[in-house]
Amino acid sequence: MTIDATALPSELLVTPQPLIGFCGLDTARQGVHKAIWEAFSGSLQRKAADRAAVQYKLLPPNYEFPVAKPKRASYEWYHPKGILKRNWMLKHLHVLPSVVVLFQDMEWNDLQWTEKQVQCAGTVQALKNALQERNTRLCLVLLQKAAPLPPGEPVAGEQVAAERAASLTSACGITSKMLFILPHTEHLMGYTLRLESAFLDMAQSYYAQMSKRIRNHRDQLSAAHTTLKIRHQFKLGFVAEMRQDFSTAQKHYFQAYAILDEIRINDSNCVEIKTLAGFLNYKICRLMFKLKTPRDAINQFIIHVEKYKPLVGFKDLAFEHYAWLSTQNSVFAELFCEAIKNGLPALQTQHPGIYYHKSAEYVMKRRDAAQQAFAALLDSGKAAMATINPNPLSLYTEFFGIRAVKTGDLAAEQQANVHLCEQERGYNHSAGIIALLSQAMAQFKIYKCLRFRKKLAIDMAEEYLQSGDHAKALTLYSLMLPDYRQEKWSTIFTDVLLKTLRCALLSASVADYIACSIEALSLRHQSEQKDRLLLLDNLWQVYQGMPPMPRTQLTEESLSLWTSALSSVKSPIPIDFDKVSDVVEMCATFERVQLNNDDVLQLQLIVRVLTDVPLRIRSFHVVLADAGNSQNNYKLEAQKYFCFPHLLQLRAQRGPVDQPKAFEKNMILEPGSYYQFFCSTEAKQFHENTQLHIVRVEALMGTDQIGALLTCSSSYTRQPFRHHTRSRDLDDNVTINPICYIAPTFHLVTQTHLGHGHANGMDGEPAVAPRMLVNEYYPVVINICNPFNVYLMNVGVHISVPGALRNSVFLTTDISPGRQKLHTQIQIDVGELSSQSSNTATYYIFSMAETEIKLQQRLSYTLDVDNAGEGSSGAAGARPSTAPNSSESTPDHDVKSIALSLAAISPVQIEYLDETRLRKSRIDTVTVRCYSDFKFCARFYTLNRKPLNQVYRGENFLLRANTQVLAVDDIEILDSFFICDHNLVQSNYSFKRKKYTSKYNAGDQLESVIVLRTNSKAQDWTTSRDLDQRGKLEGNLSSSKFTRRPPKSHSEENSAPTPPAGISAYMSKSLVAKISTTMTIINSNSAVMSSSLHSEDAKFAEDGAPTDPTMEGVRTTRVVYNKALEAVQGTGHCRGFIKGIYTLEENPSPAPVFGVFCIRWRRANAKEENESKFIISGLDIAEPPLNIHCTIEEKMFVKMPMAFKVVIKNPTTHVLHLIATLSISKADNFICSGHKQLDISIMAYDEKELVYNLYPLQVGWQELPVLSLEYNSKADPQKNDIHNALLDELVLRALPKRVFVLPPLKQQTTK
Amino acid sequence: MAFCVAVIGKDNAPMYLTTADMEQELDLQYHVHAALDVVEEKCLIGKGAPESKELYLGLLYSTENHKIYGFVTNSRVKFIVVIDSSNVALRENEVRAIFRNLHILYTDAVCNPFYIPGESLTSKKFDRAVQKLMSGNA
Repeated sequence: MTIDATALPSELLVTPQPLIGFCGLDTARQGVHKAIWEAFSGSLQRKAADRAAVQYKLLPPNYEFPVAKPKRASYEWYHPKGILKRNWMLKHLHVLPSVVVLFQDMEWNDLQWTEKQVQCAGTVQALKNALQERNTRLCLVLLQKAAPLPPGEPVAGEQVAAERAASLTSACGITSKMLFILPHTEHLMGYTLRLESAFLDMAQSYYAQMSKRIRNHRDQLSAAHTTLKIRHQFKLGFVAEMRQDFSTAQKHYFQAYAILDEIRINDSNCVEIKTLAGFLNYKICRLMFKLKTPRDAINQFIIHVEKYKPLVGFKDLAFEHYAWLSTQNSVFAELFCEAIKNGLPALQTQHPGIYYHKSAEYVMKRRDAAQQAFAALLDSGKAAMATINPNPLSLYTEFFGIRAVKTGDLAAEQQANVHLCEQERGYNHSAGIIALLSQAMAQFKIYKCLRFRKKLAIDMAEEYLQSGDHAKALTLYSLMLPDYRQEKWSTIFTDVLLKTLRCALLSASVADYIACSIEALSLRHQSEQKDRLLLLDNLWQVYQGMPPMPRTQLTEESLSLWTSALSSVKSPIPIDFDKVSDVVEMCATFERVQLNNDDVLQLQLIVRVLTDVPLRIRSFHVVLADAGNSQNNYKLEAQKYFCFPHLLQLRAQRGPVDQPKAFEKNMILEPGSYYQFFCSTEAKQFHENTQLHIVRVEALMGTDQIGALLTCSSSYTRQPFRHHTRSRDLDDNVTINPICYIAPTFHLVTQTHLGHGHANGMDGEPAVAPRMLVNEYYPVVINICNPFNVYLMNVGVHISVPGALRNSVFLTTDISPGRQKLHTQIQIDVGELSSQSSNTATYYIFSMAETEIKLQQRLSYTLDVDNAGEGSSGAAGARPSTAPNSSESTPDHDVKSIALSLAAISPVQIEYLDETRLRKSRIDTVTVRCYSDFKFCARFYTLNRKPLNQVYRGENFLLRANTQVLAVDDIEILDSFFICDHNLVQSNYSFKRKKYTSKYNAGDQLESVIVLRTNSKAQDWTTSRDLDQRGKLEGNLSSSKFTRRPPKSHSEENSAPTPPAGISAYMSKSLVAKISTTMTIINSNSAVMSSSLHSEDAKFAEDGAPTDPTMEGVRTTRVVYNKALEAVQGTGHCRGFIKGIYTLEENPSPAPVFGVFCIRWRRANAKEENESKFIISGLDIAEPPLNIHCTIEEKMFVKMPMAFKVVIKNPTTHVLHLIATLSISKADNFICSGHKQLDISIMAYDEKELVYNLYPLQVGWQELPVLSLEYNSKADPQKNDIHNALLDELVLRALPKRVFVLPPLKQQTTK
Repeated sequence: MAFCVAVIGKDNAPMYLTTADMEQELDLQYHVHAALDVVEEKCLIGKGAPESKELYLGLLYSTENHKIYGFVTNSRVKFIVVIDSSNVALRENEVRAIFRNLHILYTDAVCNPFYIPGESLTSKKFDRAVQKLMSGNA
């Protein structure tokens, strides 16, 4: 039995439920009974939430019901000793059932019915006797095997049952309503549910009657019976709760609570009043939460606590008061929690954690009060009295909150108090506080009060510390340290830190002790300098392996702890200085941002002691890492230093006189000064092409045995705001380079020569390289040189054309005459280059467009890596890394040129092939500007030199090709010719042989005129495939040509003789084999005839693909005919089918291609021949009504007769009837003979020749007689004037108008 | 009438703290620090609402002995004032007035060109004014 104040009785905490007693069940022996009992009370029941709140009690056969007290007739002189009896609630909850149920095994058709009935009646009577004076209901349940008969069925058995039931009820003296039948069949649960509701009804009526009785009592009370009034109200409330009538219950409890105020409180009844008030408050709050009025509950609680807080009672027993307060709070917190569990939302400012916390605080006060009380006890020498009465039960009474002490008896009271003090001493306050605090912490965490939670954790740690559990306290404290450190609440942090330090000291945790001591050196912690000096002394004691503090201050136990801890300490102890602030400021910077591989890497470390005590540091290290692979760490030790009293001197120093002092171990850093340390190492021990960055700065403090490793990351954060004096901010005075780039060494030097004249090794470098021309194989010579003492393998150059130029620029290495393979990227393997050697590589660029060409040139080589580890010579302790063994003898200028060629971000790539080899490659760009070679322009004319828009089949016309040389350099034109399509026939316009002077310069113009005639219309354009097919057809069935073709093709056949079938077949085969990759590359830069044969190309590709699918893969490589003639499937001299033609034009024009104009040329003094090719796209070809060919002699002399022959050809299938008239001009310049007017009829495909003899009479330009043709409308009536006009036009086109008549030859005149 | 006045920076580090009772300073600091929980929570809720910027946060929480009031400026500098719980006569309006005055004092102090934003307030003038404010005769 503890003190009432410390805890609420358990019977108060449970929800009151009606009690129903079962008797006559023998659960131990009879399975059926057991099943029934379990159905009512067992685990099954509590699971079903819908079951009524009832408590069942199994009554043993000889159960003794509490005897009812005799009723008091009058309360006038009655003064109870207390308000509430301890056993009352227990009695009604667990002892006195509201309903007693008697179970009997009785079948209606039982043979021994009468005997059983008698026995049953006896039992009932016994129960009735036992429950005398009580209103307890009694009912009888018959357990029967048989299922109940359905009602309303007149069976003999039912009759019996009805009769026997009547007799039984009368025998037992109960009403028939109190008799129940429980058939124990499979539907037991359903029956029990129904029975239960019946029982519950009875219980309700029992409790209703009970409250009526209590109310009757109350009516008899006078105003003086305050205690009894309270008791009655409490009882009414409790009974109402039993009835599940919560609002009534609350009302009664509240009345009781209100009446409680009427009692005057003094020291002796204080405990009782508070206990009762606590009970009532608990009930009220609980019901308020239950009735969903949490605000009222909280208010009630606050008012309650406020009201009773000042009522301490006996001063000696103040702890009891605090215990009561603590209990009130914790119990309320539990209620609150319960309500939250049932769906009540809580707030950040109003949640159970607050009450748990208060409760914990009261426990602390309780402990303090208890300690005071005990101290007072010791002082007054009454401690001995405590031992006199050790029996804890001696103070027990049957009332709540009343001790068995006579009121007014001072001595007895004193003794009781002493006794209670003794008892209190046995209580473990710390455990209670810690438990409550942890509960509060959990709640505070839920409601997002993390800082409050920290505070609670600190309280908890303090409690652990007080209770002597230093290790736990240390853990808690050190967990809280970072949070407060981060928030920079220095006062709080100091408090926590010092407590942590104390814990570390007491629990002999070396690492924590050192860490805390160092942190406590900071000026931010408000303590004296002498404290800091003391801390430092102790720190060094620990470093030297000795326990800190004057030994006398440590207990034996902790001394031994320290010795064992010091022997097993793991040194050095890492301390993160990023977190521990304001003791030492460290910051590191690279001297330079970029370094070459063979330079010396230098680092500066700036250190300042921020506290006011000097620190001894054993060594400083800077840890570097690769940006690429950060697991590669390098540690550099500081070796030399400068010391400045002032920051400004960091800037001003570097006099030649100042030599840095060498660093000694355990150097003392004076407070307030700046120290500048230097570290240096060879850069070549690091990987090339990496960024080094400073990972952290480390300072070692302590001795060999025990030391602290102070690490801080180098990332220097600038202050968001500057100090108003510039000397205060470090970054105003020092540049901080957090990274350093190690530029790689590339072992190859290249020199690129463009144009001709270098391949043969002539080194007379011309000032200007010859310009590259379109259609030229432009050589590029790369001179690769290895100036280092390194043996390089797999040296190679890879050149590629950028994607945008892939269609117009090609590369090749082979320009052997005939054909070249063109590529978009080429790889030239140079092989191996020993030290100080060089080699050259040549390739050619071929461009079809006039652009700037930027080629990507990638040089690469592999290199053996020396792993001998000679790098470590530089810095002591620095880890040697794999580095290429670049020799020291590198000539200076080479390094410079390399350095120049390296951009800020180096183009050098380094790959590690395996342990011993690495590949380096560098990408450069070669830029070549390509200029135009020729400007080409071609036009068609009629024989009359009129611009030609439409070609008639079978008509001669002129092609005039103008070429202008654009190249700046001298070039030689070797030849120019026109390859015409198979459908055309070409002949020379003049019989003079074209001649080219040896050299041409920019601006020179050339012209050539070619007479062309086509034999087919655009629709009938013959392609090589037509020819093939026809050839094949001819081979197989020789007559097919006539069946397939319209008759007019006859003439075409004549004019274009088909090649023999054999050749055709051969050609088709060779076509198929080459097509997909062979094509002529041709410019078409003349505006007039822009055209391309892309469609042809595509068709060829389609043809080629099925025959050889592997061709698909070699798209980038193209075989090119250097000579356009080879690209043509020749069918005659300069005539044939143009095969794959590749041009820059995207959209193919519909007009047919008439041919290709080629110019073969070369640079002056060069050997390589180039050929520029231009596509001549044709005109529309129409079918004329007739063809007129006029023949006239080449030279005419005066007075020399000449023939003027006009051949008229009928290309149609009809007969033509014409009238030809020759009209001589008025000026008598000719004498003419022949038919002046003639009617001609020409048969289909036939021709007629008109011959006139002309005798020129005058010299100079003379108008020729005009021949006019018109249709003979008599013979051919359909023809009209429109047709005649067409004829006129034809005549005009075909016939010359004027001739130049030469003077007579000399011989002639002399003759 | 005020027990403790604290000015807390935007990253929750104290910039100024003064108490009437030096003995309780540590305890009060803990309380003020814990009050930041509520301030943060209140500011968080305020974030969702459109700019109905009420700087005065009202009563943050109360313990047996103290009532803690909060105020947050637009630059997230927090003012915390701790008031004796037993002082029932103090009205909310008066608390508001304290905060208003404190805000003015703070702005004046920060306007000093030699003050580095973010550092603790060491101005004597500010201190004097705040002490006056605390004693209730500002």
